[in-house]
Amino acid sequence: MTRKFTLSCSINGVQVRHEIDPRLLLPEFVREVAGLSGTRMGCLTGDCGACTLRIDGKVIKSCLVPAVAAEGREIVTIEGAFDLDVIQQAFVSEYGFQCGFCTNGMVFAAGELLRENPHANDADIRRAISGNLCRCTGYDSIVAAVRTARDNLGSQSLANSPP
Amino acid sequence: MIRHAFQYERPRTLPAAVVLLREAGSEARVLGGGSMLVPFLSSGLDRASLILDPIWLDLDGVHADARTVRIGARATYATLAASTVIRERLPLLAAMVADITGGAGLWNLATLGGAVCLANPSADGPGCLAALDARFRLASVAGERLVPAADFFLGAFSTCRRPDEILIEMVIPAETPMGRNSYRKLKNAASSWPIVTASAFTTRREDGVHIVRASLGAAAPAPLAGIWTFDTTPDLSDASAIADALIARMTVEWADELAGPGYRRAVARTVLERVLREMVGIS
Amino acid sequence: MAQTRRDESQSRPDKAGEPQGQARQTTPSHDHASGRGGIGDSVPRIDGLRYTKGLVRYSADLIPQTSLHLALVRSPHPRARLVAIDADAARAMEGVVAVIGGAEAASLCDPMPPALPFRPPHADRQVIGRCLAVDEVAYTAQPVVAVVAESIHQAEAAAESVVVRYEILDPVLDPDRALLADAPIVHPGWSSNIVAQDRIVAGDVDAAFQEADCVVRGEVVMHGSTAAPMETVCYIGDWDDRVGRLTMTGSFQNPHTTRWQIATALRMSEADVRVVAPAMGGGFGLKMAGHVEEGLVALLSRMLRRPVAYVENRRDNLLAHSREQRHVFEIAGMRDGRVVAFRNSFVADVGIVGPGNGWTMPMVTATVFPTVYDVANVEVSATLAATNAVPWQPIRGYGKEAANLVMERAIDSLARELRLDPALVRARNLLPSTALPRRLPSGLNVDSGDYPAALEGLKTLFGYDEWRARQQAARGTGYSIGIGLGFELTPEGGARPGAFPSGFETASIRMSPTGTVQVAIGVTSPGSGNETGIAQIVAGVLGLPPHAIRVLQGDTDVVPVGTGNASSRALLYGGPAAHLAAEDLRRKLAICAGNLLAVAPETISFADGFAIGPDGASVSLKDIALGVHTDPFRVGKGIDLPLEATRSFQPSNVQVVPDEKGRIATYSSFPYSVHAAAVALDEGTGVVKLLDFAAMHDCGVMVNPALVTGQLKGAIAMGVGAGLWEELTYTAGRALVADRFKTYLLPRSTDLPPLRIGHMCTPSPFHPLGMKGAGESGLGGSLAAVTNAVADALGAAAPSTTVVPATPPRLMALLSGSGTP
Repeated sequence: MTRKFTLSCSINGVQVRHEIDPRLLLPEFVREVAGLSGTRMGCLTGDCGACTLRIDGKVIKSCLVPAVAAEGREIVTIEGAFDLDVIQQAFVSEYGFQCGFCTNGMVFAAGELLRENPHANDADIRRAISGNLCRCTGYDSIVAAVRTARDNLGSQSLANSPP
Repeated sequence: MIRHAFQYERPRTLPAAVVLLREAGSEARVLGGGSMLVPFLSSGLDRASLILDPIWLDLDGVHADARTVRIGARATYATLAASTVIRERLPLLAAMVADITGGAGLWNLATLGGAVCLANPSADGPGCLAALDARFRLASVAGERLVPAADFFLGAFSTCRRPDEILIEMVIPAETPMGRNSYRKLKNAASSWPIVTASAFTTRREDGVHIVRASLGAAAPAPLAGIWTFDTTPDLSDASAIADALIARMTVEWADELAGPGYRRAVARTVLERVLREMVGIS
Repeated sequence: MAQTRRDESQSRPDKAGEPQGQARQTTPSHDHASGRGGIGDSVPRIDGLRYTKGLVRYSADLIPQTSLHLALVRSPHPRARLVAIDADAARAMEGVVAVIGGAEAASLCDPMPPALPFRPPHADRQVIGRCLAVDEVAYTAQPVVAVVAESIHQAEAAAESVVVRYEILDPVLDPDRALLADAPIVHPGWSSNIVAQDRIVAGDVDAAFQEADCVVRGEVVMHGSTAAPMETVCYIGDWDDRVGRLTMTGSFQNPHTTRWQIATALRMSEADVRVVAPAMGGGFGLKMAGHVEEGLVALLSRMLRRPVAYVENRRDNLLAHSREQRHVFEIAGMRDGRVVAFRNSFVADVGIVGPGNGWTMPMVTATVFPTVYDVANVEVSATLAATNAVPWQPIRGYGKEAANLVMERAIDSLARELRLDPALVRARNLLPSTALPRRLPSGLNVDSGDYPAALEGLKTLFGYDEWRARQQAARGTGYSIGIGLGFELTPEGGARPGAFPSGFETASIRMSPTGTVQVAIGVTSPGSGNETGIAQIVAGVLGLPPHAIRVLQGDTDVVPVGTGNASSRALLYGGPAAHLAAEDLRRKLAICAGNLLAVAPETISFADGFAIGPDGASVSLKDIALGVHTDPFRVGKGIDLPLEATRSFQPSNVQVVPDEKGRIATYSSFPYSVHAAAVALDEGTGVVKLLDFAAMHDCGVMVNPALVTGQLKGAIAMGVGAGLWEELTYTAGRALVADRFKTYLLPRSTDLPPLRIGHMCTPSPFHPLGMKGAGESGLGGSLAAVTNAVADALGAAAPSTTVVPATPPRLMALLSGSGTP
């Protein structure tokens, strides 16, 4: 039998401890062990961004992280990213997704942008989502969604809410 | 989706780390950010027996003194992009970092140190660091050594770092204020890796001599860099001479999946000239 | 007469960020045409928050904890004899449950039948439909050995330890060689490598060429590209041993086709196979039926009596390919730009023919010429060659994009030769709206449209004249601006005889005792949002809000037989089927309301969840529903119980009886669009930047304009990618080189400018709701526009052979005169 690894970390604010196969990638751990399938796996090369989540408050393409490296760290997945509701609403009102497979990553990328730059313009938005591939939309509606989220957030800046 | 079993270690101290590396032999890998290593592992292209994660070795920072800027081997591109020191004292490096693609999900993870250790010719960092005359501090059980870029990058995916060594930091001279500088990267599209990079900057010595450092990255298996001195402000003909000199050293052309034989040779001079012209103030 | 409207979803672009977009700013996206959510309203996606909050379940999210996992050993050779398989080591590895090869699989199941069987005289042809290779492999990456283990890690590790010995055979990797008389035959039992041929002729082509002022010849060489949906393929087989029933859950664009193919291969009754297609992370044709892995997962689950899951990795996903076509065209024109004749002959390298119907796409290519132009003399000859390459997978465009690309290159080539503006040459040759309906030389019956108005509208929207001025101003800067136009005629609603199923779609509507409305429909969504459109149509009929309608799709136990997702049919066919069913239900409800309100049913109207009598008295649909079920003798008097209706829609514009020229018409609708691209070509590096893009589009009546716009923009992005960056590259031995997104370059947000869209509406005279297909449109026109723009930027350096995609190395070779690409 493969030697197990005891992984202790926080997921969506809850401290967890699991005996895991040390060969798991972080998104495999999150999906299969923690049961949070909102984190998608699209390429496993760090190119598509569908597996994006937050580690210690920063968005990360999780397929680039071995699960064991999450030891002691704080993971937030889309299911626990309660600060992103305004962005998620805007992705609906602006048709910012079609199949939805990339949306997890797009929402996280938008969140990090608007946290750091509440006045982001369209060029900033395009750069911020450039690490996330979408095959459905041609990106315009995603840019519009982030723009709308920016406007709707207004003074209640994401910078004031915990990541 | 890693298929093989491996040992994962997060040593608390550098001495412990280098002992682990010595014991693991040639199949030891130091995790930089993981943006290249982890996909290699999960696709079965790398069979590392030991993954050493230097997360607790305090290598994440950017430090500066009067003479140098020191970049920790684990400093992410996001850290570099946010660094005032780099923006003010190494604007060339700041320009390179600003041009890294991949989005925040990558910037928050990937490291310049990891990229230089991989030494993929089609990369952003090596050419720029070669122009900056960076030194690479390597540690092993035998002690530390500081290697200049010219000796560090040996070729495609090849550096002088031994498997039992760990990169600690990159030391970049920054005593004299950087003068005019320019960095450019050529790529097919946003999804593409760099096809050619060019870097150039001027400084002025106390005796008034103008120094130009320039490099051509991704065009050859290892970055090509040089230093030139001028008694007067370098002009267009100087830029042209520098381009000639660097291109003449491109004896072996790097080719890959996105740019086959001949392409880099056809475009390298153009990219280099654009950078040098910007450096001498003609855009 | 066409009505024009601007893109509704283009709201408030930033002045600083995207100056190109701001001039076209129009109404906010929330404004609905009627405000009630019926046809014409841009209703946001039903269940949208489930998508944006990560709560939607795709196939891979539904793999049971108890499932086994499948890894495949694939052939490293394009053509070889299987000598021996040594799997002893793999069988002994931790977690391994089964390792099976082709011989064992063949003893347990039959090949999957072709989704589109060959017809006489080739009806006896066998496709490569075995789930694992038997005796010989016919293409690189063909599945050879299946390894099933408790975890995917164990399965993959064990697959690596399987040793297969091959005797390498002479492969056929080049379509030209495939067609030589002495070439090896790549399909066992066939008499040649010609999969199909077609010749379409109209008028007197030879005479017209002789009388023309000018003849231009050119070639278009398309390299392979792929759909690359963000979600890879996933299949989960779940055999229920107690009842002898198999459930397949997965990324199925055609659930009923898959049910038939799997049931046939496994020698089961279709009634014992259930195919479920949950939310799909993009399809674009790639997930249409006919992957051998579908049958393999089904077999393994039945064999091992446990759930078995297969999740394709990205590398294997990029094995799917298509579009490798080489066209030679000749166009004959008069000095004023009038086109008098067009000739095109092409060879498509369709690889191996498997159970899917990807190979049929070039047959569609041939039927589209001469697209939107009034050309009396046309000759098209198509040859489909089989080689030892992976079977083609269907892809958005379905061959039509190639026809439009070639036609548009031909028009531009003629314009250049005649030194006329390409827009002018197009205007001179477009069919006027009064010429429609009209049959193409292939027999397809084009419904309606106003092509000249679309071109004029586009020129204004794009700022064609301004861009020409900017092009002049940029001369000598080292960055050459190129402007390209691309018309696209997009036959949609395919109804090819013999396809399974073909030519109709069905909806079943029912109202529950508490008044909820469910619509079970045979069309599926690949993630396009068509369920929202279907809900709108039904909601409009019943006077309910769209979110009150529950649309059921993608479960063969639940929905009527249907094609699933292909050829933009979800709303084109599914829409009217749902509309008819909803009207039937409404008739029943009106009778019931009449019973309750004591008024004549014809006087009842429906709004806001109520049935309303002529005097304003009303009764809620909930009360009617409850009454019908609890008090049927009074409330339900005079209707056929229950509150259900099932209706099908068959288009009127399909003709399967050959006419006097032997032509049939297998497409029912003809949306079209015209695109304009402006690019900057870096003359020093060959790198192309897309500066601006605009398109005018007409798919008749739009159910949800915002969703149509989204589909169109997605197709445009794909066309731009296919034209400039996306290329599947291979080694000389046909092993995939571009095997990840670092080497197969998809467009990213920073590669694309805002895409500026205008819609026109020329209702189809053949469709009950005036609709034409939407969803696939846009790829061919954008591909043509960027390709023409690059040629325009190259100017004198543009060769007569156009190679797609126009990558920087290819363009640099042209710019530096160092050789042909």
